[in-house]
Amino acid sequence: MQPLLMVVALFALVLGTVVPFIVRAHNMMPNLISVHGKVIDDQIVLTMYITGVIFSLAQIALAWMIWKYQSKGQKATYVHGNALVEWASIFGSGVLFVGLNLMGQGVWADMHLKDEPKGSTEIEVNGQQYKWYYRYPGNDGKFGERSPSLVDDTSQNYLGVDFENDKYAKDDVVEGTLRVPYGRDIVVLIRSRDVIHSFFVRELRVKQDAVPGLEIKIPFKIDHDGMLMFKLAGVAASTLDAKDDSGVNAVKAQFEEHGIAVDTSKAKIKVIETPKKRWELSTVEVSHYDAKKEWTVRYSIEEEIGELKVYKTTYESPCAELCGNGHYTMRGEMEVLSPEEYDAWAKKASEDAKSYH
Amino acid sequence: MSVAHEVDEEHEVHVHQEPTQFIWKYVFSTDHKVIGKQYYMLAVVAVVIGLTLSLMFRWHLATYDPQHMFLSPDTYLQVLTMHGTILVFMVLTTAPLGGFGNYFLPIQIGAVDMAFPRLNMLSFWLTLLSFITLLAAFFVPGGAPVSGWTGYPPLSAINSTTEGMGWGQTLWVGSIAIFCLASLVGAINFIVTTLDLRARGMTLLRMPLPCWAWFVTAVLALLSFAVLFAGGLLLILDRHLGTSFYIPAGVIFGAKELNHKGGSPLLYQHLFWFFGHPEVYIAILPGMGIVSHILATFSRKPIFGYKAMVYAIIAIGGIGFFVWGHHMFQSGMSPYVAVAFSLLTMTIGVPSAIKTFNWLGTLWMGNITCNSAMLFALGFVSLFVSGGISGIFLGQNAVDIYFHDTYFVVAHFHLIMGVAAMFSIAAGTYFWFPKMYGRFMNESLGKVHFWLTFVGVYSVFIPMHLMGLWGHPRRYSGMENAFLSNPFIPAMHNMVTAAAFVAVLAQLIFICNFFYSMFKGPVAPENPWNCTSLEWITTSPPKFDNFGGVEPVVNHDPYEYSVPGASKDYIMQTDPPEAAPAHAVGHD
Ligand code: HEM
Ligand SMILES: [Cu+2]
Ligand SMILES: [Cu+2]
Repeated sequence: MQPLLMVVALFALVLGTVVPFIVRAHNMMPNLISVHGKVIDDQIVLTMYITGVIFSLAQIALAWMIWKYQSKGQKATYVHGNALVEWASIFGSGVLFVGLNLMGQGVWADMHLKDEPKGSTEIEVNGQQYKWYYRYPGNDGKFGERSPSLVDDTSQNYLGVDFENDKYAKDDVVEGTLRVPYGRDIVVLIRSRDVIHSFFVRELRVKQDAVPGLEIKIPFKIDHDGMLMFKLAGVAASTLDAKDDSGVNAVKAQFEEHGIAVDTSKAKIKVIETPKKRWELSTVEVSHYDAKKEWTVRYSIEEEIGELKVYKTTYESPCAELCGNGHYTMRGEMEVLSPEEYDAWAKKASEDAKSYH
Repeated sequence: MSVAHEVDEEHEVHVHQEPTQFIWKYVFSTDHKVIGKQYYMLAVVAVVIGLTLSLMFRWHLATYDPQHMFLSPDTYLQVLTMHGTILVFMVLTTAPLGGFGNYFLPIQIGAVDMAFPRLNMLSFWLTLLSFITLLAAFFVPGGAPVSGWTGYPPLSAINSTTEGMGWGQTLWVGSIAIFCLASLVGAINFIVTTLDLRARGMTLLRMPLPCWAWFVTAVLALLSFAVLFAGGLLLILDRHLGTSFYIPAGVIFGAKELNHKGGSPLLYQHLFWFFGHPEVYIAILPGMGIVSHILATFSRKPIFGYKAMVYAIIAIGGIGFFVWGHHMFQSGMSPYVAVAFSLLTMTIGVPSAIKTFNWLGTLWMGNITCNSAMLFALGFVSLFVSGGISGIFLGQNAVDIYFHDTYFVVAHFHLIMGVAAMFSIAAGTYFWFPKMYGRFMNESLGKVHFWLTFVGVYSVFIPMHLMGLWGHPRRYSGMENAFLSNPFIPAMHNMVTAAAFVAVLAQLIFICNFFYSMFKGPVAPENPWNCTSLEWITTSPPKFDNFGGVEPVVNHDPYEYSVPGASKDYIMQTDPPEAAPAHAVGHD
């Protein structure tokens, strides 16, 4: 009885994990928008496969031992081990684990060890309990001086920028939203003015603690040229399959929840993967953006219904390091703009800031 | 020979009279067996409190509604912090080492007591004091701290950072500091006992694996708690004496610049994790030893690769001191150092893989009986594999960028540290209860306990990996709009909470079984499991001096099961040399 139960339980464990983690390994994470993130995702999926095999083999071997050698009055075989097995496991696991690790060092070097690419757009990311503030250098391209003694929350100088005396500071823009252009090299300078926070944007595959007293640079580049995979959830298969507008509307609502506005007048939809079960994610393919501000998105439901237009993309930046009671409320917002849109916004915002100060 | 003689003299010194008064016999006892039970009971009380706290925040998450929160955000974090601290320190560090280690290390090596019985008593009472100090944090103005079991400054260093960071945080640090002292004293005792008090013939490589595990664990404790003690002291100085070890210049609270400068928040993290990583092995190594012991006994087989197991324990302990930086990949520490830490971390997977291979090898061609002790030991192996697998993700610095501080990490360390270590404690309890109390625990209840727990914990922690993949940050008390990418999260929280209730409530069965069997269980003989180690040659429970005045002499390796040609299917370590047929010798 017990051996049988163990076998059932261990097989259930293997099946229950292999399906979500291995079969659907590609689909488990929020959609990816950064260039370096591709390497990280590939590394995660590769690790998923390798460890998935090790995990399954180990659990099944355990089940097999329990089943095969359950006591039926037999005499156990007197063995003390096997040197070959020991050495094989040492070298096998060593080479595998270290090799896997080395494969990930390239992207680590790109993010942390190399100089930032020339001409990068620099943006300061500032954490404080429980809010993020972002500073842009303005039209002069230089950040102005700042000092903790100048911090004054009542006049909204959260970062203590020396607007009064420093000419470089006057056109600096401080905002509550992180705006970034796609297709350009970006460097965020991460800081904190009180406790430790952590700048995390899931879709960027970027996470970096914001530490008081340090300024930490993280480069990234948003790639909207590639294929984007949106995972629409909770949209029932029947709705997606419907011939009327309900499918489009359900999807539209989902997109809006993702912070993406959708022009449905010319929607073209085709489901690539129809969810078999209600709780499964349905995958929708989103194609290239066009050269203008707007996103042309094609995704599918069975048959082509029309073309979707998507513009403006907002991503969440949840604080990832415990920073006090309001930790869970500390969520920044990142808006991805086209380079042209970004330039126009940055220019205007800088001019406004200058005339204000 | 002369060495053996010295050991003899040591023994003379320690055979002291058994006290007769209740208070000296059961309360302020210097008997390692009583102290072991005291540690164990402390852990039982702590586990009940710690798990109750976890049900509170699980309930909060499952019923989460911003308008009607079950716990306020402050209370949520206080409960979370105390849950982690109580379980890591008061349960996972006390029961496997202080509890089982105290009780069985001397007996398994054939000693009459620990080397320093009074220090042993001191270390228990300090631990209790530390526990009380920790619990007191709930009751001071402001309540318990909210900074998590890791207590990172500046959050933990400055009272005004957030609600509830007053005396509660100070008591927390104080409690940890006392705990460090207790552990240091205990560790010295374990080390000296293992090195000096072994019975004649008990060479180091004849020690049962739990003894090796306790020994290496004690070395880890000695080296790591000292550093945590220093780290805690500096934190107290920063909090109360205006120093700036951890607080840099320019920190602003209440819109004012604080009068600190020159400190580094990362210094604390280095000190904490220099302790913290070895600590996770302090929690699991004794479990590995206990589980190996039980697997051999109930497969009726020698340990597969005994020496490899010993070297793996030592390697894990050794490498464990050079990997702490893997908790800090995203902390802002030098990214070059991160590469080194990452590579070293992956090498620790090697001894872990060896252990798993050898556990499977021990079962291979065995004669396996699945009683409660064995089920928990088998469950441990399964959980150790599951939890180790996620370590392979987290140990890669590039991959950890995404997973750090998400539920993926929570899933990793609960499976491997929380749950696996608990399984080894349960396995050890079912296995050694007959020796400790002279009675058996109820087998049927044991099996029910196992199955509810096994299924329960997997249902709690496997889904957490998914939440981590979706990017759910840990230590979030609220979920408004937290998961732009995933509306399944609340459903997942509900499921996990339901499973958590099953898994936690199942422990009540265990506790009832434990106390009921203590008085009403069937009476156990000396050696009910036909096990070979020294605790089974003496009465159940053992006499005050363990072996009733007889000094055991060890003639055999610890796991001589199913020896061909022998008269029974096991050879006690103390059986005369002739018990083993001449041809059946040797190690791998
Ligand atoms: C295969 C071996 C293992 C590897 C490669 C590994 C790797 C890691 C890494 C890299 C982290 C940091 C993750 C992060 O915060 O981003 C971590 C966290 C952790 N690991 Fe492991 N680990 C292994 C085995 C273990 C074992 C055996 C235990 C305990 C018995 C353990 C307990 C923990 C704990 C408690 C944490 C989290 C602490 C916290 O942040 O609160 N790990 N592990
Ligand atoms: Cu924060
Ligand atoms: Cu670690």
